[in-house]
Amino acid sequence: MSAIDRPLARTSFRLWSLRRILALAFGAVALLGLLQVIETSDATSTGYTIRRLDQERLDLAAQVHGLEAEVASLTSLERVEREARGRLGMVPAENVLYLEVDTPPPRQQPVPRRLSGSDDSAAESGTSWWQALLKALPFY
Amino acid sequence: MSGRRGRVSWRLIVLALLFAGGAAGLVVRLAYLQIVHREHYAVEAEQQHLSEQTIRPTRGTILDRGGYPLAISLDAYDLYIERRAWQSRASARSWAETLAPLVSKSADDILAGVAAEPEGDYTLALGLDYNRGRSIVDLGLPGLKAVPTTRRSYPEGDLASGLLGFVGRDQVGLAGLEADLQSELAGTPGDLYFERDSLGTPIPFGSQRGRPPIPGGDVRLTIDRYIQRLVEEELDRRIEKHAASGGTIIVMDPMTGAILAMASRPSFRLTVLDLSKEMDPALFRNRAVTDVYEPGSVMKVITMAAAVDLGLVNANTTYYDAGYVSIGGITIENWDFSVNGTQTTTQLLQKSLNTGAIWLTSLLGAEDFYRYVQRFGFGAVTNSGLGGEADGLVRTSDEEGWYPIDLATNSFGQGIAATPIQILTAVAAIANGGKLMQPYIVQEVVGPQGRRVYEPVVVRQPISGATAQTVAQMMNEVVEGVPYHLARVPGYHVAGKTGTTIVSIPGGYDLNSTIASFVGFAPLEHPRIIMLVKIDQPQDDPLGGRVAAPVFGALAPEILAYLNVKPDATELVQQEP
Repeated sequence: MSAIDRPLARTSFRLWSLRRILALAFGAVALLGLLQVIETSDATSTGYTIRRLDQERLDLAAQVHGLEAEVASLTSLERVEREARGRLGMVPAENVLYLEVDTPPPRQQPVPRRLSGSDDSAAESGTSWWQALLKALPFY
Repeated sequence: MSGRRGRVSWRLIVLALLFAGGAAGLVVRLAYLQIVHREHYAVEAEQQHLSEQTIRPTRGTILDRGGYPLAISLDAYDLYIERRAWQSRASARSWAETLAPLVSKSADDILAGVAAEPEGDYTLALGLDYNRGRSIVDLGLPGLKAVPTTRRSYPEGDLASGLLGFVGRDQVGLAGLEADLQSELAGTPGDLYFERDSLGTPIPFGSQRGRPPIPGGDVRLTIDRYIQRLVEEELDRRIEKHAASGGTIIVMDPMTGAILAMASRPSFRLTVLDLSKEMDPALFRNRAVTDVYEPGSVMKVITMAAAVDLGLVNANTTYYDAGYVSIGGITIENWDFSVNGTQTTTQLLQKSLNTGAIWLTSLLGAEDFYRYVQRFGFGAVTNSGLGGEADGLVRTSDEEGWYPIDLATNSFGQGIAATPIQILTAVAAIANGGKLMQPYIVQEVVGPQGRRVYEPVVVRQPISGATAQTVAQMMNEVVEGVPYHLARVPGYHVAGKTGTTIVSIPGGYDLNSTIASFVGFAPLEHPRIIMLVKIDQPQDDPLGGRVAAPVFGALAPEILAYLNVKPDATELVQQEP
């Protein structure tokens, strides 16, 4: 009789706690696994996005090169002559008169700066000295 | 299972032993693979997991002196088809018909190319336009391989073809400046090692390492595209007019040695060049620096400069022209068989008297004459930087095979072989006050390593400034002291000398064939250009004065006006205040 006389509540409490702990543990592991899957999936998607953006960058670089070549072609001597003769009706000069002119010639920039080697980008962009100083500050 | 209590069946023991044996075998095998042969399989795994890609750098641009591109690189694709992926006829036919309009080939041609070999890759297109290549890649056809590359584009068309040269399939320069400046233009390829999946696609956030490509430097030449175009058009016109076999024109700044234009014919055309077809390699060489010829009477100004520099003669020294000179039993006459009597040294040049040139060498002596010839750069390369430059031929008096008659003939430019660039730089020393300048064609190189600017180089001073001034004045008298000289330029004082050479052939000379030439510079006081014109084997007229000098007379006014060179005051129209 004393063998049966055991507090049933304590046993069931232990069992109930163990189940809860096991459930919580299982849930944590499942959550960790889910997080891992989500992170891996996210990383893969980001990777594909990076590849897409990289390809876009290459496409844009190719487009830039193509536009540079097109600008060069549009300023070619052959095209200039064709336009001068065809569209503007100009002809080669026969009589040349020499005039002495005091004003300096206009500044010209016919090709992209990358090809002309011009270094005065700051002056051309219109940045004043105080704007350049502000830009140099780390917190600006 | 156990028979009696506590005793295990023998069957269980056998089964356990079998399992243990198998497990032990697995462990041994694992140890063998992962410990004993670890390095070998690690390398194999890396080779399977890692891909290597070479990233081709962008080739540098070639610009004229004004910054206008003459040769520029565009992005492109080389496309290949893996033959093993096109085994199914029906599918291959469908894919070929899809590709045909995009690569400008017929479907049948594509299929024939694929079927030509059982293995390997079929070259579908090389240097295909980038946008078209991308659209083909996006089709995702099986077996299609696309390799990013670049191709050269020429915004000015065929301008300066012979000078620029060309590149091969792998974008390596094969001729002309593309080859001469290969190290400056090529850049450095990059490489990329990345982890890939079974399809070859890079694994996101996988292991990746590599070096980015370093683009080639942009090369700015001393060539002016407008002057180059003028020169090429005029050269083509004159060759056609005189039915000549070819010709060369070089325009240079005599003060610095910067080459403003350089054109030779025959040559090739960049816009229609097809390296897969057989072509005469002679068309690819730059004849202005590779081909030698006998300078003819242009050499007389060098002979004169030597005599003036040594104080043996001046502009008014006289000699007697009997119309012929005999040396060693050989009689040499003037080119026009004239007999002129007492002549000044200036008249010697004006009338281009062979007897006068021989007289000058009798004053100089062989040793001094050849010393000055070599000081003017004959017999040695000019170091212009252009590939294939010849050093010419000067046989001096202490060399085997030299005879006294050679001194006589050398004095008027026969028996000496020189390139057009050598002759031009020699005469330029007379134009610029006596300095032999090193000709150059590259003005600067701008690349990732920075900017490298090339400055003029004075090689030596063959004659004094006073001598140069005297001889230049005499050359001015050659043009302006002779009525209706065809090299005259209205508004400018011009100095020059004509030359007419009999073409040398193995064993002697072709008496029916000449090279007509003229070297001139302007303005006399502060020369801005010096020009050499050489027309090979003109059929209608052999003389330099009538074939080559007019070329100078036609080009010089346009070039001087383009360079804003102020003419004489009498030519100026004053602007109304």
